[in-house]
Amino acid sequence: MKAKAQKTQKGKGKQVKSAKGMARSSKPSVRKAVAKAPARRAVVLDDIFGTINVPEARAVPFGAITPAPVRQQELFMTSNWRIVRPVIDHEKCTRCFTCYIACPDSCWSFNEKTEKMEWNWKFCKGCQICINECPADALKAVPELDFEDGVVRLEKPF
Amino acid sequence: MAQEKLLSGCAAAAQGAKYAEVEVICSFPIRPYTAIMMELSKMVANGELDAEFLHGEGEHAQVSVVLGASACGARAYTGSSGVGVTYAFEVYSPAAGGRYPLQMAIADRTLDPPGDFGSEHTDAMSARDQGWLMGWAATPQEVFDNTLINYRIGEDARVMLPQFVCQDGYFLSHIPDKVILPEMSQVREFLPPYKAPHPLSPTCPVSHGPQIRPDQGAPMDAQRAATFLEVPKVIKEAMGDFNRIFGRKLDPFIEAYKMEDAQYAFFIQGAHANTCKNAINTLRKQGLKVGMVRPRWLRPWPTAQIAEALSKVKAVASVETSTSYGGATRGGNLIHELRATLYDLPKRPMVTSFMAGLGGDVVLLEDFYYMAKILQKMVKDNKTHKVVYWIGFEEEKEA
Amino acid sequence: MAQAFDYKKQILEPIKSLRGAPRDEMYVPGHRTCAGCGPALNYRLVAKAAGPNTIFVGPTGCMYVANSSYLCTPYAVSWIHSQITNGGAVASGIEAAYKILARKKKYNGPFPNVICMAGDGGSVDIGLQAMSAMMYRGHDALFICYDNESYANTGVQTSPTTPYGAQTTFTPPGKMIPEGKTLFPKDPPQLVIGGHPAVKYVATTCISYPLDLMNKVRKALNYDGPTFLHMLGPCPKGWKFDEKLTLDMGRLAVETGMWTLYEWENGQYKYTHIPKKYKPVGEYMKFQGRFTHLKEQHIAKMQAFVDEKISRIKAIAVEAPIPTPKV
Repeated sequence: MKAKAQKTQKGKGKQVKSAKGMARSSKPSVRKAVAKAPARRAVVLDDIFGTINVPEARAVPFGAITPAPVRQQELFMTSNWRIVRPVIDHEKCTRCFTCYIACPDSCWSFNEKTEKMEWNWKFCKGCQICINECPADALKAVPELDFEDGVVRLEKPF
Repeated sequence: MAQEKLLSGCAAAAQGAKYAEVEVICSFPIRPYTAIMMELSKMVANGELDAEFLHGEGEHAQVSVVLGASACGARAYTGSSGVGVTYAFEVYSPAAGGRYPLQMAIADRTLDPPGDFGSEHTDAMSARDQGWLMGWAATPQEVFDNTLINYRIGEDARVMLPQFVCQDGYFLSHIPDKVILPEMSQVREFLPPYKAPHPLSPTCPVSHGPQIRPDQGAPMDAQRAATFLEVPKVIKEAMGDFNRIFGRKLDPFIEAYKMEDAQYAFFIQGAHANTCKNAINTLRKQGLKVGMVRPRWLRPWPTAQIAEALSKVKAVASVETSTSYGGATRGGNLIHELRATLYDLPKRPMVTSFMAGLGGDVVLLEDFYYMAKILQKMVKDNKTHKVVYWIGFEEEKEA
Repeated sequence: MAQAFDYKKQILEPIKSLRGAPRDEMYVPGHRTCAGCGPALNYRLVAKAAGPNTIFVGPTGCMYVANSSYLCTPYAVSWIHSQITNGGAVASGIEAAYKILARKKKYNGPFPNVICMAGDGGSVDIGLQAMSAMMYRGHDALFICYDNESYANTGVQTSPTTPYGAQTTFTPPGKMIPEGKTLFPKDPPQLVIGGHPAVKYVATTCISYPLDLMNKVRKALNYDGPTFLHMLGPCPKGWKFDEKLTLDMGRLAVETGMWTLYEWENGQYKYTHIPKKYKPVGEYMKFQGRFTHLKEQHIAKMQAFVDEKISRIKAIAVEAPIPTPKV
């Protein structure tokens, strides 16, 4: 518990504690001064610091700790990076999984149901590694602008 | 079983860590804190303490290792002195901003150049802006207590901050004094296990510390600052529990010694405060109404409590065992925040500072008598002749 | 260290084919790495091989800044940023934490894979001390040096693994220094093999050989002790080549001897993918803008360096200077 400092009066004369715990001098003149003296209070209030209010829209997660993504990171879509996209000829494709393993952005996956390689339009940067690597010549680069949904415009920049 | 032992500050810190059941310790030798690690290594080797004891490759690595451990939810402990403290500097902000409540014991030491094993507060003080909790102990008992108290407060969900538990090198770290070691059950009642809010875990994946944009940096800083507004509340709660459980009567924020009617005061942190109290006892017998305010915390700085304690004095002097070259007073560090604390008082005391104990020099009773003389002269002349006095280097021995 | 405590270490099976590799991505799409980034592909393959029971340490570098801009990451497993200086130290702390948490029954799952993914600078330059100490202390963790041969993230400055003659923004070629970079690179696996008795396994990998890479990752993780992988990560931006050629660059590195694929365990070296006939280094360098300023004599110097390196492959496996306990 915080030890409360005893209030004392700088005066001559015997110090006497009143019922309220306030020291009083026995000298009348000084007693008057004591009666007039304001009740002591914290001279510097804690609220001199105010409060720091960060609006929700600007808040950064605690300790800059964010949840891990599952399957893909929707907060960073890179589809508007590409100027060409890989187009697959499923007839030529041998399902060798080379494109799947070669993509730094994991944009090729194998659909077990359709048994076809699927392309992730949201993240492909158009680096053309897959086109370059495909041993069956099943992939070719086609300009983005040739496609209706070409050059995807994202809501937020980057 | 509670027991009384004669322990140096280093041994007391090691006991504190043991009673806190620390889980990952990282060592690296540097005088004068090394004994803490030597004691802990013995405890681990003989089975007294089950912890991972890693031999770090340097102080920077020490703080890095315990940061990684703390991120996983392990209670982590390390320490250093002097240039070791400054070598680890890069990792201090990541530890605080990442909200990892690890603890670093600092037995302070004068910074190079050149080598000086003596005590000085500058090493840890230079890290005071990095966002850690920190404070100086004055006795081995306080070192032990602070070890537990800092984990309790640092690991509180409202705080989650790392802590520097500081003590004067040699004067405290190497001189034994009476320490009452509590019962383990008391410690466990006071200090609950550490629960990291989002530990690095294979079962619940999280990302700690992705890159941010500059406009996200400002709220990050603001949120860290906002935490410090919460800390005093937690300190009060924790100290209430501490006093209740261990049967003590400690003020949560400051030690006020003979301040009730004081007209003059010393503002001093650390072990030299013990000498100060002895000097005050003598000065009081001579009729001088002098007292001492000793902050138990440097961060968060107990602004309101210090202002309140000093609000009635005529003159106060900070005793500086640290340097701030080129600073506002061309002297030490405490004076800056002391003056800032007192500035808004309706009746400001006069304020000056005394550089004492630098380099590990002893601070004598006579030094305090001299300081008291200066304070009296200030008040008599109603003039702050100087804002800084260098004990031992002033031409005038008598005020 | 506690004796004979079962930390429940998992053993990962070898991956037999690309089709048979785990389909789950632990390094998911959605990161700001350059199109065709070699290190990013390294990360993806490492994460795929390691699986969900993994904690990554990511020292500052391309694989930090480019991966995590802004306030989001592509890691589906737990990951922590570390300073470029201390990847090995933070990884050590994580490994130690899981050891004590397991002993105290605060964590009861299988012991996690602890992997530090550091760039070349974070491994053998500014991060060397921490990497070496992790190797020395015997932590059950994997240290990976993804090598794009520069401090790429800060704009392609020279690092100790930058090849002789490479242009970087700290080694620009000029009248006074015609080759640009005059120093030959450090050899990260040799640094590790040469002096750390607790190390269990060291290997080099290249993204152009993905099955080999993923199996080396699993092999390293299966060892109970520190392991080190040196991974070539061709960097289209830093090396100045057409980004679709990333895997070609990896292959050419191996085919010219600029990069050798080997494993080291139990004191023995085992080389793989040794070309029957090495192509001249010019075949590799001609695609990369960082070498176009070089003259004949510089390329000859590079060739001599590579020839010396290759000649040692044929020799008997060098015995480790410090004996390694047999696995």
